[in-house]
Amino acid sequence: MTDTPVDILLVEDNPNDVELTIHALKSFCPINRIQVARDGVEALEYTFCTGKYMHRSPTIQPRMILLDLKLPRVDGIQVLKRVKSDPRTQGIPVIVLTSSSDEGDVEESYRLGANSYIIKPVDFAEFTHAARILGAYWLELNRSIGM
Amino acid sequence: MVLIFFLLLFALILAGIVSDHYQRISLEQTNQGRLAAIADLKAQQVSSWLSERRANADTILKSPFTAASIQAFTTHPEDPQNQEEIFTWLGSLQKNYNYQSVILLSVQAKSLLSAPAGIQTIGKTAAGFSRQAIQTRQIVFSDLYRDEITQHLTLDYCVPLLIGDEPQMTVIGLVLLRIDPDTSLYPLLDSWPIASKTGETQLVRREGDDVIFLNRIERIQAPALSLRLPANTPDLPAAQAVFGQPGDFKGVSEENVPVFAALRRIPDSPWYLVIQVDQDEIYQPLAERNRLLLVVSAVLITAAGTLTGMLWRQREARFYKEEYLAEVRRQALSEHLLLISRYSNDIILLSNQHWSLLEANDRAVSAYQYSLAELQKMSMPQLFSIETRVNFSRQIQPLDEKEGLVFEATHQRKDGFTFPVEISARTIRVDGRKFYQSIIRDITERKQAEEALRESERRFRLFYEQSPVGYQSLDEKACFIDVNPAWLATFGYERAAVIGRYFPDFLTPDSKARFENLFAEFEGAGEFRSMEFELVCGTGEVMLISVNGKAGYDEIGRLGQIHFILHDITEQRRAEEAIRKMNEELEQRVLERTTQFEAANKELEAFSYSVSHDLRAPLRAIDGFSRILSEEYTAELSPEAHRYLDLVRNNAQTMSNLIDNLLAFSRLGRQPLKKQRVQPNEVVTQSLDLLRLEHGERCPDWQRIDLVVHPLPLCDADPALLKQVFVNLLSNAIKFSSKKERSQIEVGCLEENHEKIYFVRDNGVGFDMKYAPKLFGVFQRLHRVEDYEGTGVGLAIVQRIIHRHGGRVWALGEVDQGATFCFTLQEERIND
Repeated sequence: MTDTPVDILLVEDNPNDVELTIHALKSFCPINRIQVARDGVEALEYTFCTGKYMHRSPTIQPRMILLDLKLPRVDGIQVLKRVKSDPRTQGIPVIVLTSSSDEGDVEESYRLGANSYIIKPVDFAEFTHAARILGAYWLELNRSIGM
Repeated sequence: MVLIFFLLLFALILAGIVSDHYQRISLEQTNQGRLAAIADLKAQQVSSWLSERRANADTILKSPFTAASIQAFTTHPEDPQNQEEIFTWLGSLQKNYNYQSVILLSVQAKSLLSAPAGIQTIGKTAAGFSRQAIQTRQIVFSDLYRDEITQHLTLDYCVPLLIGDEPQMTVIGLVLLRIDPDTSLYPLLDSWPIASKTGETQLVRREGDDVIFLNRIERIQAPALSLRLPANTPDLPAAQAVFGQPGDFKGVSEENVPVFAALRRIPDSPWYLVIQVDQDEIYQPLAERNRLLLVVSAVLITAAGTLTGMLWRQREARFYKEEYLAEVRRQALSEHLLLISRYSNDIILLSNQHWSLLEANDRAVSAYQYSLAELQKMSMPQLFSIETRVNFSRQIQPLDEKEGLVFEATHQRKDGFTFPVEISARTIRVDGRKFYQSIIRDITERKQAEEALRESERRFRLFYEQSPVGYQSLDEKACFIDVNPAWLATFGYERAAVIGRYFPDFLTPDSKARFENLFAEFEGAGEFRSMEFELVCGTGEVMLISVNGKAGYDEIGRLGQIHFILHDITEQRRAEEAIRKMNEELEQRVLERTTQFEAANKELEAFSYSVSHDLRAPLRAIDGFSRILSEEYTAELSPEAHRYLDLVRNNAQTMSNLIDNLLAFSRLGRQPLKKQRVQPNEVVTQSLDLLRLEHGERCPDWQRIDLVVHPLPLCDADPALLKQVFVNLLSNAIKFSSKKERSQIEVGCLEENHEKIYFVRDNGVGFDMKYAPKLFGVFQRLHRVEDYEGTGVGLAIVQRIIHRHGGRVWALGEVDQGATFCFTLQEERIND
């Protein structure tokens, strides 16, 4: 793996969603700056430079994390908790992007430090619209730590 | 008290008298001793004095010188020398011996010479004595007499002058020695060795049968020799001295004054001496002392008398007070009796010996309804009912022998009404006359009670004999007194095998021990409640019995009979045991089911989550890729292909809505109700805002909707769910009235039978009431999707929410006439 800078860490197990999300984001974020993790374990390995990402430089972190909650192995809530409780990573904006409209999930996510909570619309136009707003805000308007 | 006082007084007086008596005796003795001493002294003095005089005379008589001188003188009287010599002798004699005079007489008793000189003649008495002396040639003592010439009391010694020898002696003259008693004798008598007012010395002599007092008796002013009293003058000391015995004497003086006296005879003389003192003088100290004593006694007696009087008065006062209190008590008692008689609950009658009524109390008047005057004209038997009147004389017969009698009878009122009575009659005897007192009690109630008791007894006997339940009575030792037929039938014993036996012997050993323990405490507790024992039946079978026991106590609170009810609960217990087992099994099963249900619920939840998450993902893929296709490959696709792609995307959206509604619907059953006070008008407003937001694009024509929202009363509900209800109902109303020219929608509430009914009404397409039951089913639709889109879950959600609130929901409608949806919410009890 290379240590090229990454704008977005997309944590999503569904390949359709991965493709659609990347499609929606591609207008303002080059595809090579989007890192995809297919489950919670991979997301954590990437973030904390362990496992197969152990040689990655921990100084280079994604500018935002798009996190699905329903993930194989380690679920999104666990990932959120680890990221937001570690001083090295807690500055990274985490946007929960999920199909669950469950109130409990929403509350729990914000409690753990999620910066936004977006329900994936079935309507792709809406989804594209939402993705663009998100990207514009978190990557272009919002000034993050170390920039 | 008075008696004591007088006894005291008497004793005091007696003591005084006795004391006085002994004092007197003592005084008398002292006095007599003293008087005797004085008498002895005086007698001695007088006697000495006389002896002296006689000795003096004897000296003259026997002196030869004297005789010679005198002879010389008489022979030659003119010789002055002789004369002088004799005169000197006479003078010295007179002077030395204190004679009144000394006279030399001749044989013819003529005065020759005298000293003092000058006495020429002598009295007749003196001359007589002189002649007697010359004749007898003895000295003659004249005793006291009054001289005729001098008129003085005189005492003479006539001393003859003798010359020669015996027997031829010749008298040549005579010397007359004259003594003045006032100067020599009386002073002897008058001097008194002790001071005495009435002390007196009397010199007396006998003269015939008389007593002559020789000295002056001062007390009666009697000059010497002037008093002469008969010898038999009684109690006169002088008389006693002369004619009686010398010694002590108690007598009465000349002036009748009681005196003490000492009597003496003067030896060699005719004289007697009386020393006397008035008794009064002797007794005077005693009298004084007695006076003092009397005064002291009087004071003491007065004091004692006063004290006695006070005590007496006090006693009197106490006596009268007690008398008064006793009188008050007597009056109270009398009043008490009067009140008892008058207001007694019993009839009280007094009759004479013929049973004619004399007196009756108020109760009698009210009970018989006769006035007192009427009653007083009646006799006792008239008060008896006609049937019982004949028995009267027989019933009162025993009163002849006994003082009191109690019997029952029936009495009759004035109006003929009869009532049972109990009569307590007593005989009263006053001064030999007989009266009867009757206390009569109306015993109607008691009779009724007795009758009721008998009835109760009969009823009890019936129950006891006929009851299917076993009864038993035990004595205080737990032995059978009685059992009823049901007992014998239930437990299979003969009566004879039971009565008198010890009840615990019929129990199993375990039950027996338990019963005996309980029975020991039974006397205090007084009852058993549903105690269970095992009883061995006549057949040997063991029955489980439930025993209820109740103690009966006698008058003095001792345990008497104990009554027991016995139920055979063998079957009941068996049934209970079966039920208990079944319940246990049921509970176990419920527990299992609950676990299963909970597991299912969890599964369902996981399922729902998966559905929401996983069912939507493919839809998103379908929609996303078909949109990419139609947008980014526009040129390559025919218009027909675009239309198909749109259809794909529409279906995907519909599917997504279905999933959302279905999830919402299933979540409703699980999430807890958060009830609170809610203002429904606010909820309606929020719902409309939401609808405007959602339907804003599809229903731009809000202007054609006439919406009326009436004020709605407060309710208790979960606001989020209530909002869902209004959202669903309002969106339906909007949807189904969208084809009208103007939608008319009304939200309101009306009260019916104290129930608030909220409603949402529209003027839309309505529905046929025969499909009304289908309206609230899930996925039930009454219209084609082409006409009115929708998932068919909205009303099902409404119904579920309302049901969860404990309310009802229903719909009214008619085809093309609009629809009205009504619901109620459970009324919470509102305190404010």
